[in-house]
Amino acid sequence: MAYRNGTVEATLRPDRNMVLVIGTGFDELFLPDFAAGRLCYGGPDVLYLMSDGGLGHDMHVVLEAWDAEPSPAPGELTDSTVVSLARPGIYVSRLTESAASPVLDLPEPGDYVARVSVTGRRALPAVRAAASGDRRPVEHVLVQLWPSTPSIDVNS
Amino acid sequence: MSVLAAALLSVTAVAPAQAAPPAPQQAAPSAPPPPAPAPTEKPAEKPAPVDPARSSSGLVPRAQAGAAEAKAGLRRSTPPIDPDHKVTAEEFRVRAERSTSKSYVPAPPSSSAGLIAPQVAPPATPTKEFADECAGSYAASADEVGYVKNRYEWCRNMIAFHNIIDTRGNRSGYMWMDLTLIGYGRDDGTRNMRFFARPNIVLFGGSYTPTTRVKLNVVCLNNLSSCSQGDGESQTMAEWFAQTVTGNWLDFTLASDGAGGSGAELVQRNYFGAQITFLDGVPSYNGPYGWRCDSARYFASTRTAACVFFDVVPHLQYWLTNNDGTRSRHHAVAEHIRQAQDQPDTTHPPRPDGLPKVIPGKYTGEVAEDTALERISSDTTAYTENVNAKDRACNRIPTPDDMERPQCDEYPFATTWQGAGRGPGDFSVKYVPGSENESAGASLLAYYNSDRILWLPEDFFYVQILDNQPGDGRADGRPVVSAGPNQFGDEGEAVRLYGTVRDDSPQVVNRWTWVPQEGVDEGAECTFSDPRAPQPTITCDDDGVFRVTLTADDGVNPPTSASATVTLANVAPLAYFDNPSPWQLFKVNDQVSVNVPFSDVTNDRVSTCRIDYDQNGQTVYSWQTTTRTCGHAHVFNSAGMYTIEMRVTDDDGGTGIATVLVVVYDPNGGTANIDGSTGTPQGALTADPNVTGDTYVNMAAAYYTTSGPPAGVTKSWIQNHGFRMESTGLQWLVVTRDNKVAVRGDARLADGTVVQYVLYGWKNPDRIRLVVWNGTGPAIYDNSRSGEYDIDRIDPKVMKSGAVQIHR
Repeated sequence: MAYRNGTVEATLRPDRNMVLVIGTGFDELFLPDFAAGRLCYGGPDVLYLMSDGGLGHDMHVVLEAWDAEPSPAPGELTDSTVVSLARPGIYVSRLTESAASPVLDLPEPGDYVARVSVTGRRALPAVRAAASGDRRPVEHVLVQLWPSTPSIDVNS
Repeated sequence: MSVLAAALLSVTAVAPAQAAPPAPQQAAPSAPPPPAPAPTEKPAEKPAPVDPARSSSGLVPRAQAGAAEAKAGLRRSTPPIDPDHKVTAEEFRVRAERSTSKSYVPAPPSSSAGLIAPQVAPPATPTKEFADECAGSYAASADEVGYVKNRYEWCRNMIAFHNIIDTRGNRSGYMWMDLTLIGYGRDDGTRNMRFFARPNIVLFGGSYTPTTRVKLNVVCLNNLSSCSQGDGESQTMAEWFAQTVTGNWLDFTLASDGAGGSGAELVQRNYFGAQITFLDGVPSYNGPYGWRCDSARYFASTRTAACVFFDVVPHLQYWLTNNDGTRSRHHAVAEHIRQAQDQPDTTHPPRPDGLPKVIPGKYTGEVAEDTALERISSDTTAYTENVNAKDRACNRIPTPDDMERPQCDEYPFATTWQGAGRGPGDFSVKYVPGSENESAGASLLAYYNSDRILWLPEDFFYVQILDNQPGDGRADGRPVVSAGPNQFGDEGEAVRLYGTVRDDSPQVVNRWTWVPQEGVDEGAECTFSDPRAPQPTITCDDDGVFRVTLTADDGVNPPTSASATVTLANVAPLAYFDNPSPWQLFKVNDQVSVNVPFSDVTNDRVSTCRIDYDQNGQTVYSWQTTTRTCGHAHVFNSAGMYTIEMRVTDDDGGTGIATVLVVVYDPNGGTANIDGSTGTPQGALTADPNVTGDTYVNMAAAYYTTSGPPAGVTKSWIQNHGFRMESTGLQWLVVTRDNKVAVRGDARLADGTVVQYVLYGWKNPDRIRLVVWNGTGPAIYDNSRSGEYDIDRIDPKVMKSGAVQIHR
């Protein structure tokens, strides 16, 4: 039985199709192979959350801390990766410049599995066609984090 | 010659460049001269005072060293900038423009995934890679701002020199040091910068001895209340030299505490410089160079403070093609930006007012407010306006169907003040493949971090689009040439040049050339020991100032040259008497043939011979010659001892002097007797210098034939002492018209020692001098020691008893 230890959230507009979730020990970016077309890319203190490339919408991001692998959340799309945290905290950032969310505390530094579930993308074409400038978040991203164990195969 | 050998040579072989040569010595193996006087200590020449008008010192970029050293009287002893100077963004922009170095941020993402904006902290010592890069960097040696590879790496190659010229015009001391100073900025939360220095070549001499201390420091030049520096490193010249062998680096730190800094970032802009303090305590400076520290909080939590070099135009580079020929990860974005910068009116959307678009941000090396980009926060209205304007424009163009995850790219970036939401519509949008847009976006964020671009209006940056992936930021590959320090020497001397050439090509060809610069006679010639070697010798046959130039050609770039001066002093001719020989004996009215060969550096030039036969100026003759001999003949018509002097003067006024003493006797000139005593001065008798008894002499001599030698006897003894000499034969007798007499003969001492002697006598008052010797070495006895043996130039001692008698 897995327990959720904390939740933080933020709503912001993706920049160049991405929202960056970073650890409190974040120091440097890594460059993923974006050609893989994944929902997320994890690395040292960075988790790239990829939007669908649409225009004019915000992304609602929820970060959840779990003590073990939780049950999968319902979503249109899911993906998972591993984030290596130098310090036990992570938050949604505005282009790494500032925090868009509170810090989600985690029990300790180390590797965490990040399972990403996305909903709302089916509505994006309609938003795009309307080009109304409606800023309501139509894309919802849930990131469930729990301590990684060596047996978990990620990014495969 | 190795650098080590060259430096040692320079330490041990220093001599005043313009010292007069010693008077030529004569050799006369066949005619035994009187003994040389006892060696005496030459009084130490009092050092001449320093001539400030001719001395010089400085700490200058390597490329300017030759010109600086040529400026007599130059002493850059004051800091190059007012300590109260307030730095403006504008002046930093101007300075950055002056840099010719290809400074740019660390390359954006490589073709493989990985960390792309590592935190920067100074290394424990400079990396060999960067040290080598600096050594070969033209900018490091020549640019006003040094070589600013990027905001975190900087270096300068410079020359410290101090030439001490005294009031006699001699160079009484010098030091010359080729230094490399490397600086590292940082963004690891610490507001300081570290510098490392080491000498590459060290030369010194004269008053700069191995124990002379010279101090180097990296110093704050302004904002002194908020900038702190270390004490510097004081080392002896021997230690500086040793560093050229060990390659060890000296370590310096500058710090900025942030107090009084501007804005939320606590920005402080300062200038720093290198400072060297010479043996006389006078400093010289090199600089100023710009640096900036901040405490911005919008970088990573580990990068809450940083210090960067600021004399550079920051720019992000995107390129179209990787080194391996593949398409770059941001290819389409690079193409879009190039189109926007170079052909803005072909991009979408057109300006609402219909005017041509001028889209800023293209990197040209120049900096101006209306061409630059300025970063803004993504948490600002301006950013939101940029994104909204971009979205509106993108919605009006079709989404490509055949593109991988098409995304709408905008330029200028939404994170700049110049983005789509600002101004009259000078922006562009275009659909690009999603992965390339995302890669470009990540690279932009990395760039902001790696180049420490602040949210400040004046922290301008640019974007450069390259066809191909850039290299590692090296300079342009031109050879870096130094002609070394200005050199001094004598005409005819092989003067060592200390040129250096650094180039990445093994094919580089060096060539030394020379031209007369000042005070050189027409027709003068110089030769290099090896004109293709960096450190050959140059030999010139005339004095004056010569300009030597070392040119390096790598066959790719235009040849690079550097010059220095070689100042050569005139060397007087070296003359000697080949004939007559010293103490050669002539009978009165016989012809004396004179032959004085001389050597001179200058070939085929006119020299002047002037001979003085030592007859009260009555027989002095001058003439010119183009040969290397002064020949003459003369007849002495009276007995005497004559010091013939020949002066040989070259075309530059240098004079060599040779003298020879000849003896002229007259068989009919009279006879002489000397009987009596004189005091025995301290030191007269070498074997017993404290003897005090009087010296007695008894001499009678006369010519009984016209061909000589004279007949007679000479005896001498010291009262109450065992010294006693008795002649065994006479060689000659001179009786002068002014009542002086000299007789030379062979003799034997009481202990049987075979000796020779000369006894001089003067009339009115009666005075005598006796010189006794056997072979070489100091005289056994001489009661008036001096270097003179000419009867007219000696100082005989007054007789206590008896007299000098001359009979004619």
